[in-house]
Amino acid sequence: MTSTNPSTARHAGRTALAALVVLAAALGPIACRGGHGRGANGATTGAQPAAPAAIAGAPAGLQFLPPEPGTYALPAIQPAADGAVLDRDGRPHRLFDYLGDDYVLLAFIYSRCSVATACPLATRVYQQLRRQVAADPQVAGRLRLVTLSFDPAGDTPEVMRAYAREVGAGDGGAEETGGDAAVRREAWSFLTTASQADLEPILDAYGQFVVREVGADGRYTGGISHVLKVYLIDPQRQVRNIYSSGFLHPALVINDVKTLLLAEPEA
Amino acid sequence: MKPQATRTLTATALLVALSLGLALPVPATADETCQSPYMAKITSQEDFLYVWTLGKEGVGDGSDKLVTVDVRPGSKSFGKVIHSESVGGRHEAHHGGFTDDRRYFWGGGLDSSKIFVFDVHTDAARPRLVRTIDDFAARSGAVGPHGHYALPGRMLISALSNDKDHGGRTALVEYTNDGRYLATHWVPTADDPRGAAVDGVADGYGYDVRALPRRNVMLSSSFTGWSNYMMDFGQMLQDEAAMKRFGQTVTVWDLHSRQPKQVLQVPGAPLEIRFALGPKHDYAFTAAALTSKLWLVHEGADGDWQAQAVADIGDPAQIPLPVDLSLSADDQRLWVTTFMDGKARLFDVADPFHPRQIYEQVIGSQLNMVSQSWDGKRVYFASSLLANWDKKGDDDQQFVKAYRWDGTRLVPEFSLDFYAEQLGRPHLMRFGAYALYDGGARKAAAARASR
Repeated sequence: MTSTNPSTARHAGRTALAALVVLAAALGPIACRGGHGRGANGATTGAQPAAPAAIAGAPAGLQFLPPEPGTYALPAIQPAADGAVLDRDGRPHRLFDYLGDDYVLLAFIYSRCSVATACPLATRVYQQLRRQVAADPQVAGRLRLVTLSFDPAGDTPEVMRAYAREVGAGDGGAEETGGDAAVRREAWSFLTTASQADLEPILDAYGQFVVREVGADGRYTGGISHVLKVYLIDPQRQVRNIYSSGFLHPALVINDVKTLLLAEPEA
Repeated sequence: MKPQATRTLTATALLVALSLGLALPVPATADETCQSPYMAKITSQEDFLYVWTLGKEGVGDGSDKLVTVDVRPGSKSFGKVIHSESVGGRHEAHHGGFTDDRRYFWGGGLDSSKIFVFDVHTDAARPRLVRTIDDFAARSGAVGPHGHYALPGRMLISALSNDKDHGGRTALVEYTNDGRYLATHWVPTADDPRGAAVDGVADGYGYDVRALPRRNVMLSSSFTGWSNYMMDFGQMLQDEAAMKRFGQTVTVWDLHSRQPKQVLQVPGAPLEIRFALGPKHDYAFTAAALTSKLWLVHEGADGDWQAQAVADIGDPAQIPLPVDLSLSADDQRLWVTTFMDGKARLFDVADPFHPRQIYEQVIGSQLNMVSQSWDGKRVYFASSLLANWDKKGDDDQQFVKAYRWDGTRLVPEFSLDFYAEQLGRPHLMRFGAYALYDGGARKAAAARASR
């Protein structure tokens, strides 16, 4: 870099910048609006921009129209991971027993969570999805729900069974035949793990990290902090979307499943 | 045993909160206001300031690096550099961002297009380089990874240029959190509007990207390409052709589908974008660097988005060159930094259509980045813009300065001379905290005990 007198450089810089600003101003009007050729006036002079009218056709709870199925792509994000889990009857399974054949929505929760925008949100959305999926012929029978606890100490199989009843998922109805076919007939599965040692590889593989809160005495308080993540997994066991609180809505999930169904090769 | 519907996240124990346009269960007091809404957030005092720093030949090891400054009140090393992690070489370190779990910081190099991934969770006081993503240009076709914005399980990177002509045509690029390329979403041009409604220019340029999930909207802004930002500033100003190659647009995207919907006309290189945080505030600010105008981008009553200039920043005739913004958590105050006069200006934006400046302070001979805590009480500034655009000679002051905002004025807390510290040119700043990570509270307690 050549050396130069700083004062001269500053003067030259300002002169050149002045030319740049003139050029920039010539590129377009200062106060103009986008959209479809509206004029420059029209904004309200109130303290806040005018609230938009309710979006006609928007699903309840959404402030926008979801994009139409098939108009976008959902590339594979990562392979789904396997792991050792327990069902609500305490029977051991592999997580992969619940994946494959259909689309699966996998949510990590813990039953004592009371943060409205976290685990309870996931459960509420699952309740709505059960009804809406069953009523939609395009997706009925193609999307199953899996809830997996990241609190093996607190969420024993017994607790998960009670939790399932509490949220209206009943007893599951899985037949005592074991194996993939039985568990995959469950519309909504409630799983936990036997230990932290079984849980942590699963959480690590899915990128679902939790913080066990400690009190002033350095001891675990029982509270768990986490960012809600829910995974849409395809029949090839690939994660195709990840939802967090801002985007977990039945309409978006169903549209995503329909988008993936449209992209499936014809049989 | 029946599941207990009890509140298990007590006020004192809550360290991480979700903030997605909904009220937090416990008021946040620390985190920056401009973070991705999908990210874990700090709800107590920030412990560390991470500074993504551009190396300079002859200054220390000359390498780009992630510098860690201790900002814990009462710490023996408060206001001091406690760690530095070099990446080897100078890549035009510029901006970066955390993954949604806040376990990793991604720092981009605008020249080499490499992205350096730092582990900030194993030891928040000592970030460690764990991965270098070196396929950004080859896989995406874009060059100059600029903004690094957390989405669930992914990173959305707003680039500045492309690998065909190194001009301003560019894209938003998606990667998985573990560093695998996913997709490229090209910014619309006149020849390829990609379904967007265009009312005027569609330059295809990029710079920043921010999201408003509640409305399913992303906004991206526009700067200039590699051939300009890597050129000497004085040389560029003399180059008539180069001076025509600056962005004039803000693009509105469908967040869920990543498809462009509208191209708004915002001449003069709109740079940083800041969405308001209020649950019914459907608007964002951006500042056009070349015209020194503050713009409001807002949703109209019919659902289309609109942009209009709402205030001057300083005296445009003096060319202050606004570069960064920081909006307060209550959407009432907006810090604007201006590079050429080194000033921080504070605007009252309670009425976003009529912002008015209420304060200004010279921070240094040149000024770029500003970050504020969630409660607005702590404000941090950094000096560097670009290696070839920073001032020269005595005006090339390179610093990180921290202030306390007492409601009426900035009160200095500490100042770090990054040349004297043999570090380089400081750029992006981000907050870190022990409390974000499992075991972090124990580490924080141990750190306090050792003071």
